[in-house]
Amino acid sequence: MKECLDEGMLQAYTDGELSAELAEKAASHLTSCVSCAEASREMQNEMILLAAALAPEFAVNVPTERLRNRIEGAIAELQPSSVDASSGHSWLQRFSDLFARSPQRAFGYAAVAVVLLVFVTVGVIYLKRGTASRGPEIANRQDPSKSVTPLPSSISAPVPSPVEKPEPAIIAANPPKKLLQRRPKDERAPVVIPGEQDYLKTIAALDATIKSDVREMRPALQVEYEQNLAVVNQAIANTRGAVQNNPHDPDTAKFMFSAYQSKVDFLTQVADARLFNAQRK
Amino acid sequence: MKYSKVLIMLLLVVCWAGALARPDKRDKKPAGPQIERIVAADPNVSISVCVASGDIRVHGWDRNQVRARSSDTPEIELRRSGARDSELAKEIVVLTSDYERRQPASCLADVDIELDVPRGASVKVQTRDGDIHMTDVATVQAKTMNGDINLEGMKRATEADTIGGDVSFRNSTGSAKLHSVGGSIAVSGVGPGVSGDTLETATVGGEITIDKSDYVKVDAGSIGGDLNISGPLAHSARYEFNTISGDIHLFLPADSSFRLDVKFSRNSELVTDFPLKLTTGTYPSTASALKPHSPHNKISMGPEPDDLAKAAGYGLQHISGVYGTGDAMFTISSFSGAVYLRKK
Repeated sequence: MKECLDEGMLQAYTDGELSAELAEKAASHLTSCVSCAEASREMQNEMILLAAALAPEFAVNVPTERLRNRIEGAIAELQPSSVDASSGHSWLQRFSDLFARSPQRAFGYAAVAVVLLVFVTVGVIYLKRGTASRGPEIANRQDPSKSVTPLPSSISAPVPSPVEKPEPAIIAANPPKKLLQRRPKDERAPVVIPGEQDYLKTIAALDATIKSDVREMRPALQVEYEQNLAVVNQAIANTRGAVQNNPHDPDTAKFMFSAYQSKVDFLTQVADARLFNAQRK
Repeated sequence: MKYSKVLIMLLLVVCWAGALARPDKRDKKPAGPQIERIVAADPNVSISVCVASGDIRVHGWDRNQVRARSSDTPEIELRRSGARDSELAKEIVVLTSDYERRQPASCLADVDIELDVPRGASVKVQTRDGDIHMTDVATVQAKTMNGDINLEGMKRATEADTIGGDVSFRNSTGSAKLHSVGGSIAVSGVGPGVSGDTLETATVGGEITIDKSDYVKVDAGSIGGDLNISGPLAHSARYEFNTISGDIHLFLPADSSFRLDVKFSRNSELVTDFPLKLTTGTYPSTASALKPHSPHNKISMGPEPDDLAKAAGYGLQHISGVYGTGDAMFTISSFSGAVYLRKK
């Protein structure tokens, strides 16, 4: 081998990657070629220098110490924060770090927070309204076993009952306290019209009797009940509104009481039917 | 294709809901041999029968006997009370074979039953799911929850109550109280048996029709249904008609003579074919002079309804008038319905 060794061959020789035959020829050439021997020497010096620089990294096990520390740190963050109480500052720091990482992430967190706030607000309002509208039902369930004497066709002294306020329009006169506190001062609460209270008590008692039977109504009776209850409730609402607008008109009041009387008669019939069905079982 | 499937599904749901809402009359059992029982009874015997589910038919006949027939039960008993065996029965309770297995207060099982009773009998019948048909009986108390009540030829006193069915009361005499919650009430060819007998009808959502009534006192009331009254007026009769939202229609002979007292909404109207002489209220300014050949006269008092609606909300009109000598008296009130007086 008279020609000088190229850099690749020389690097392979220095790294010990040549076959035995080529390595022997390269070694023989280096003894006779001064320039190639000089180049090989420089290459070996560079390798020694590089090996000395990387010695700390090559000396430790894999994974490295830094990687191990990061993994252990991450595991520690995931575990229940039994020491959070004593490390409030670090928790706050980590929380602030969440927003400090990037403005986009901070904006995203803020958007999620706003959406949650809106949902919670709407949910609270909805639940409160639901509570107010369930008032009559709750009231009627206070004493479901109370028996009621069916009334004659004309009521002079309706049966008193502790169950009160069956009409939604009237129920609003005695709403839950929280709603009452929030009502604006200028909003006028519906007033029970003189003579109306006796009908309301009687209707509540009949309603309680009907609902005291936990079994479902038979479909045919259910249909008649709901349809006609809607008719009579609408009549009461209409006439009652007229009475409130014309409180000194006795003729208008007669219409309202006539509608109430119809409801009493109607509920009496339905209550009788429920009792009949109960006896039948 | 996709829409047609949706339509079919909707149709099925509607059919299913309709089937649920239908009066759930019992499924008919196959009829067995007809069982018949008969006992001698007082002409004014009291008979009671209560059926859980099934039709009841009662006919008056000229014999002093009570006969019960049914094909839905192996046994019928006409249980007597209030009389010795040697005497004619004064009270009879109709029972079937399964009665003893039931609670004492309960009603008969699912049977259709037919009774023949003396014409002077007092009959009390009750059924849950079924119709009641009665003819030629003196005193009747009929109650059904989910069925029609048809009464014809009643003589002395009638009470009928139904929740979901219609009531028909025809060619009868005696006092009558007819109530239906959701059904209609039809009355025709009726009158008092004795002085003081009255006719009283009431519904919540149904319509009331009274044709050819000779009662001197008639009350009819409905919350949401219309009232239709037709036929000649009885001498010195008093009619009281009330509705909340239903209209009131009077179809009267041209030679009728009556007084009229009407209270109705200012937003509603009274339309009459009869030129009333008003004692309270006025004709509208646009019709200050009655037109004899005008087909109808519309009556109201005070400002125009539209103006009132804008100004003060609800208000009543009160109109009184006379037609002819004022023999009969109508007291009419309707909260939001109209009143029509038509010549028949």
